[in-house]
Amino acid sequence: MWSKLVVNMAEAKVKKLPYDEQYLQLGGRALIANYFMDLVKTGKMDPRCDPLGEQNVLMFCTGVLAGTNFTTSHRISVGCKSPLTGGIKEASSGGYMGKLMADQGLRMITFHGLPSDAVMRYLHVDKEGNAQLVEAEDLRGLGTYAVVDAMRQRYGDAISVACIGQAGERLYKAAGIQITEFGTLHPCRVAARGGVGALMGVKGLKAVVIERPSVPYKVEYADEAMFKEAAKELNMLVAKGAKNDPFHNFGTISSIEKTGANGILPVENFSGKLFKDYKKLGVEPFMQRLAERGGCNKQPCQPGCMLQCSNVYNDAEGKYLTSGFEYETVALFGPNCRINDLDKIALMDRMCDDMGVDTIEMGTACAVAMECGKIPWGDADAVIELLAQVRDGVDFGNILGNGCEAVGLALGAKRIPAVKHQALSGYDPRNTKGTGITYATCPQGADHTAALTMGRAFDDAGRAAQAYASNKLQVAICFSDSMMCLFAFAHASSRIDLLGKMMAGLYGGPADITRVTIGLGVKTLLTERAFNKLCGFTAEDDKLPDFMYTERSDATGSVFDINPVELEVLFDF
Amino acid sequence: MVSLNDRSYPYVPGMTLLELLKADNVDIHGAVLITLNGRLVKRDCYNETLLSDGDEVLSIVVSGGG
Repeated sequence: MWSKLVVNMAEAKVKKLPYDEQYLQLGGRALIANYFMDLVKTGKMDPRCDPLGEQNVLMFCTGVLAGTNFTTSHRISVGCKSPLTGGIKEASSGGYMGKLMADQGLRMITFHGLPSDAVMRYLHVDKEGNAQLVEAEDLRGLGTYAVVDAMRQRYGDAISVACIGQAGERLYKAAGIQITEFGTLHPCRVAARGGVGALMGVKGLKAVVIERPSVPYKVEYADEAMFKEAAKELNMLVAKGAKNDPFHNFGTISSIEKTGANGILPVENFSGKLFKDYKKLGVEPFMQRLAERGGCNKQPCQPGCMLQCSNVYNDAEGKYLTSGFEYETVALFGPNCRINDLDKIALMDRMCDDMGVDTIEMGTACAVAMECGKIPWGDADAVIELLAQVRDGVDFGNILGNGCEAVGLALGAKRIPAVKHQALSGYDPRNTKGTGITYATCPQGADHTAALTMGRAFDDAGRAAQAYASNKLQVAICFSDSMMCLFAFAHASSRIDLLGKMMAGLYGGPADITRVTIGLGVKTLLTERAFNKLCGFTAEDDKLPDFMYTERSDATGSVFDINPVELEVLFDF
Repeated sequence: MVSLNDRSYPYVPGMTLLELLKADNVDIHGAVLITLNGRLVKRDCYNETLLSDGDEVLSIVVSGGG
């Protein structure tokens, strides 16, 4: 039987309890939506509560297929009422934590209340499955790389660590939770968005450390043969697709080859311009530096991943600089700040990972600061200095740490690229309108994982097709985020019937795809929107920033011309 | 034989990567990256890259995301 850990931060006590039957067939994003709505329905959470107050719960949970041999089934989801958006938040991450939670027989860890003292703690789950809160004042003020080093010295290398850096301790609304990668143990995977690190900080929780158990938990199948047959077929499909997948061959940075050429890559605070130097940040220089400096790509962030999109990027002297160096970071610290120095962007990535802050918020916020004249366009050293201020909690860092919108408001910016207080990711919505529809309507805020419609099938489609694509993809991503990595899902999507078969093999019941598409997909999206409505969100919040509707993209002459009424009917399922 | 995305083509001594890509109608000016036996080939090197019998070429279309 699966278990859960319930952690009372006020009393510094941990209970291990049987996992709730009602949540057994939910995981990841679907579980988070249902759990937080249940908190509201049972009166345990006022939906308008302060996200950094005592009612908010911080949840770590696995996907619904955790513990199985299905590829990428061990992502981790972090859930809460978002300190940044004020609405529902599921921040998804790769890394080793999901696998070790499943091996410990854990589907969910929830942290309740606020500490009654000012003591920093971490949660430790040992090899035998015993869990306790450990005082960790010695870790206060440390960056995430130092936290991981300290945990490795105490517990060895067969661990996963989820931790906050200085940004989370300071309750910055752009703070994320860094999660160690399988194999390397670099804290480069991140539940980045929505300020989840701030909630961890206010709870006085520096880290969650899980040891590999002496005896791994064995999953109970309703029909093991049925599950494994379906999983084998889908695993083969993903493996076949991975062979020609640019993320597998080069990493997500490859996306710049597409976005840079057609005006989707954000340039100078989403000005709509083209960035002629985009290839200086593309695959050729990236792969050349990996080869010359002893870095590598094709790294799995979790065991059993067939996509293997991660990497290790070394500096000019061949010393380790950063890992999990991704498109979003390059796009938003790069062209969006008019910077074309890959090494300096890699350093920014490392600084953000170490202090535990979202690179998307930081990149967009720095571009807003440039537009307002706070620092010059293209000045990478000035960005690095601002990031140091975030880390050290001094000067402008105390504003920048709260993200793009906070910077824009503080500097009186007229163009703030954010939806539901969360910064746009690395795609200009005027030139990928389906993605713009996703930015506007996604309950998570403008999000890079919620349904990017960009791709051959949709690029040249009309507005109705863009809306259709966003709608269907948002549903699909809801169930993907409840089961697996969306990069693997891209190759499995032609046989989603097999996901229904896997659910039947694992939990029993009919091998019916609607338990996935409706149960984990549509219902999750509607539950999230209902939760946000209770939090005070209205149709006014489902809009892009005004300038997207009025300023034309130089690249295409386009504005974002999907009106609010068109957006609202999207959710009339 | 040489292969391009698992499609086989007869090997001809002296054939270049560019010739193979043209034979397969690869849009070399689009968002496409080419690997030869697992290694990226720079865009300006297609014509000077001579193929060998048994080479494996992948043309990888970037559709974005990430």
